Amino acid sequence: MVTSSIALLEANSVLLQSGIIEGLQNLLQPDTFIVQTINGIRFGFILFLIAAGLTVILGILDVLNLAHGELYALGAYVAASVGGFLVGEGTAAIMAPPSSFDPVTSFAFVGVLILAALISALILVPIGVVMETVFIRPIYERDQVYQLVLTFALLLIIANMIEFIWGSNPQKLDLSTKTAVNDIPTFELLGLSGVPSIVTLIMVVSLVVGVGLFYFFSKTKTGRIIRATAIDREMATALGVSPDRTFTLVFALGAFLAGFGGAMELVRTAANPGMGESALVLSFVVIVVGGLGSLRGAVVGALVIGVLQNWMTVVEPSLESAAPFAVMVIVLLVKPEGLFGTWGERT
Amino acid sequence: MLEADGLKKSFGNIVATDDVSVQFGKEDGEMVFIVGPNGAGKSTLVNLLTGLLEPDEGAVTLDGQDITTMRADQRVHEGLVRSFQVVKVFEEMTVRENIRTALLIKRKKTGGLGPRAIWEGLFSLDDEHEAIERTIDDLVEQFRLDDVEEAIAEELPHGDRKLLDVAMSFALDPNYLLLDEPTSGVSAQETDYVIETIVEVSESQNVTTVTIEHDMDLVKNHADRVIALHQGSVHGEGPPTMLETDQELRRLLLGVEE
Repeated sequence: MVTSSIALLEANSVLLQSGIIEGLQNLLQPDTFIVQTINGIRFGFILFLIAAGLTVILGILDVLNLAHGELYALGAYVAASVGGFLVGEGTAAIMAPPSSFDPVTSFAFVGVLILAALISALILVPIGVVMETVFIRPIYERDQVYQLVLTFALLLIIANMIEFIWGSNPQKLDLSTKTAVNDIPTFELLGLSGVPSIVTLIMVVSLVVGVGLFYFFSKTKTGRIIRATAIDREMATALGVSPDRTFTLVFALGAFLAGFGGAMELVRTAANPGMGESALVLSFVVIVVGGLGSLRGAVVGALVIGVLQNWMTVVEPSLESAAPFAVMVIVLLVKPEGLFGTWGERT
Repeated sequence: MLEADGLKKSFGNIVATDDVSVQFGKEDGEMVFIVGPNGAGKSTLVNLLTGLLEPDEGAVTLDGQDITTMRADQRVHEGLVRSFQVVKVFEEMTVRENIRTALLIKRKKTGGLGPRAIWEGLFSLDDEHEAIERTIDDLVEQFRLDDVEEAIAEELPHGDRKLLDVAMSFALDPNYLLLDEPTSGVSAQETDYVIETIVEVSESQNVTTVTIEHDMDLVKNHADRVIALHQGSVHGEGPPTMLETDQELRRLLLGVEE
């Protein structure tokens, strides 16, 4: 009894010394809480775009694609170049960033950024197709260890290619572009000042893509065929679905989503070496928490991890990386199959 | 005409089929039953014909075309369709959704995943096509699933699940349909009903149906032709009366001499 009380006291004082209590008090300031939560949701949406591809590829191909995070990084770098071209050379002649708020120009920049993200994501599609058909297809029949080693090799190759092409300096869009977008009032209209409109843009666009993904799988022909293959590959084959085509398509879709996520994140911050690895690790946590192969699970997992990580930046930044894994460990202990089962659910 | 020519397939030391040559198919379709004791090579033969297995020796031809190395999914688009011994339906979809899925894939060389099909598939809702819905109506009625058409597949009685499975095969518009023990696991009361329905639809659509079946009464009642396998080889083939007249076959199938 006595020892445990002392232990509690000690733990308490450790908490106090580390500033966690203070951090929590800071987080619970209404303004901070709302701003951090919104930022967390934004990050959750981006994480979902990455994790969705990872989990669908895992669910259908049974391959854990370790190079998936690099597709996200590549999307960001490509978007830096494409976006740089579009807002720089491409449009400089007709739209110079305005010195004061000009709605037409600001909304035009929004359009340009969305276009840049779409182009970047589409550039990722053939890369995903080549990865699947050339490298991964020959070893489907092998043990999963081979797939892990191969996709790990692809991870390193793409990471090095990125450094070879873009160098080791972070790549970002011209600041004036962001300023032009931030000039459009969004959360400010609700009386909230701490959330720049570029965050609103990322949230809205990612949400549209995410909703589109669910629509794709539940309502469209192509989505239905992919879902059928996920439920029972042998049966889908017996109905005349080519597994090879399904696999390539799923990989291309995953590359598109990861690339789009990367492009969206670039809009706010910079493309930098190492962003692929951390994205892979976090989206892996997301799909374990949500349930391997479950799309709905990926949504919930991504929001939980995204929000939690942003809260932790206020509460105790040194624990920011550990927090998602703590959640993962708890989920694995309490509900090992994840919050949602596997794929094939009625979306 | 679907032809197996000298098909041989071994698994390790076990010879599953040994030089099997059979032919199926007439202009107006026929009901062929494959019989034989366990381990006779019946399922292996069906798997070889439909492309789930590749033979060690021999060839499969379909209407004169050599399809020995053609993938299973491609054979479906050539009109060669199969069902499995275990019921294979999309458990979480309704009866109608199951059939709709089969219809979406039907007879497109790319299995509905060619570049053009994907592009169109992105924008077209699968349930907006009148023609598809009418085909579903027809199949649901033919297979006597009208009462349960909106039920989730996994909640159906086993006989209905099997009928749904076969209905999906018919949705693919086959010329040749290979059924691996469609009455397996179906209760005694439902067995007649399931087989009768399958035979009725097969005949009305002039489909050549090849069925593996253990219930000899069903075979006698419905077969145009019977092929008996034993230890991987064709023991004999002929009209269903051979089940009565061939004493050795009777002994093989029943395991006892009556």
